[in-house]
Amino acid sequence: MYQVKFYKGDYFERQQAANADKAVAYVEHHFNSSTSPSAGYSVVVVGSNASSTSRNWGRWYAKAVAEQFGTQVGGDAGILVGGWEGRGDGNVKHTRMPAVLLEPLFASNPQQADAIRSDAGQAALARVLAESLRRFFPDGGLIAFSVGHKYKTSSPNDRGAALAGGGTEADYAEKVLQKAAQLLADEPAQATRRMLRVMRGEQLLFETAVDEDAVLSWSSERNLLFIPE
Amino acid sequence: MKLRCCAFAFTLALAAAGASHAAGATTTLRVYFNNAPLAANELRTEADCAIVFERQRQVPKTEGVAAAALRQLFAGPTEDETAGGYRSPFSAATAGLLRRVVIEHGTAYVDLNDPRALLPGATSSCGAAEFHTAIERTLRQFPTVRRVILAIDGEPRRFYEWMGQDCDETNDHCDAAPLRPGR
Repeated sequence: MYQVKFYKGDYFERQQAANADKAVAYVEHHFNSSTSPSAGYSVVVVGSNASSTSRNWGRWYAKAVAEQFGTQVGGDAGILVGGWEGRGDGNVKHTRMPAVLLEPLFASNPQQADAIRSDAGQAALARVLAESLRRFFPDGGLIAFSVGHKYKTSSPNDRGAALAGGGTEADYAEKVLQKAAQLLADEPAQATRRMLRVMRGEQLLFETAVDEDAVLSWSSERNLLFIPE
Repeated sequence: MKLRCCAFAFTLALAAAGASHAAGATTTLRVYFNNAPLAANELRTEADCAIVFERQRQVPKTEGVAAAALRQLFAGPTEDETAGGYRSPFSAATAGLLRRVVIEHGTAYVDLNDPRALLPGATSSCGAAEFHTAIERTLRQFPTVRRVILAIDGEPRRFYEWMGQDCDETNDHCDAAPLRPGR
C-alpha cells in the first residue's frame, strides 16, 4: 500500500522532512518553459548524486510521457543529471531516497499548455507517474510529493512559469500530483517486481530484484552475471 | 593586500572596457539570443536551449562595456530581430534588470534587481539554460571574464536559491563580499 504526503516549505526543508519520515520515493513536479513556443520535449532532472534507481526511474518516466503525448525526450535519454549546470540540483540532491524532478511538458508550448490545463491531460500525466511509482517501488511505502514553486517559505508568491493561454505551472503541477495521489490510494501495490533467480533444477539457489530496464550480461569467461550501472 | 586586489580589479575592468573618451565615438558590442528556426536550420537541433546566436549593438563609447552589454541584452531583441525568429527571456520589461556588474580576478559579479516575478520561467531546465547562456556568452566576449556569478539585490544566495542550486565552490559559496558597496 502506498501513502502519499505533500511536503511544503523551502526545497531543502521538504527534502529533510521526507528523509525524517523515511519516504521511499520523492517526486517534485514542475513544467518546463522556453522562449520558443515550439519547444516540447519531456525531461526529468535527477540529482548530481542520483542512484541508478533515480536515473532509470527518470528515464522510464520521460519516455512514457513522450510516448503518451507524441513528443521527444530531452536531456541524456530523458534525464538531466544535476539539472542544467547545477540548476535544479538542490531541489532533489538532499534526499536519502530516490528522487526526481519532473518536467513532462512545456508550459510555454500552446498545444502542451492546453493538455496541461485539460482534465484528460492531467489524468494521463498522473497515470504515468503512478505507474512509474508502482513499477520502481512495488513494495509500497510513503511517497513524498512536492509541488514545484508553490508553498515556499522564502518566496510564497512564486507559481513558476506562466502557461501559454493562461494559468501557472505550479497550480497545474499540484492538480497532477493530487490525481496521482488518488490513483495510488485507490490501488494496492502490485507484486510486479522483476526478479533475477538462480536455479538448480527446480531448486531456488538465489533470488534478487532488479530494475525493470536493467540489462543483464553473462560473462562465460568469469562465470559472472553482470548488471551495468 | 586589499588595496592591491582592488587596483588589479580596476585594471581588469579598464582592460575589458578598451577605454576611450573620443566624443561621439561608439563601441560595437555583442549580445546573444535564442533562435529556434536558425538552430534547426544550421545545427539540426531545436531541443538545446543553450544555443544562442550573436547580434550586434552600437553604443556610445564607454569604460563600462560589461554593464553596457548587459543593458543591451536585458532590453531583449528588437522588433526586426523578433520577426527574424530571435527570442530571449529578456524584453523591454526587463530592461532595468541590471543593478551593477563588478569584474574581479576573471569573475563577473552581476547584481540584478529582483527578476523573480518578471522571469518566472527562468528556473525551469530549459529556461535556466536560455537565461544563463545569454548572460554568460554576452559577458565572455570580454577576455577579462572567465566566469559569472549572479546575485539578487546584492545577495548571491537569493539568486541561487531561486535557481534551486546550492551555494558551493562553483559560486564561491554565495559570498556577497565582492558585491558590497565600495568594492
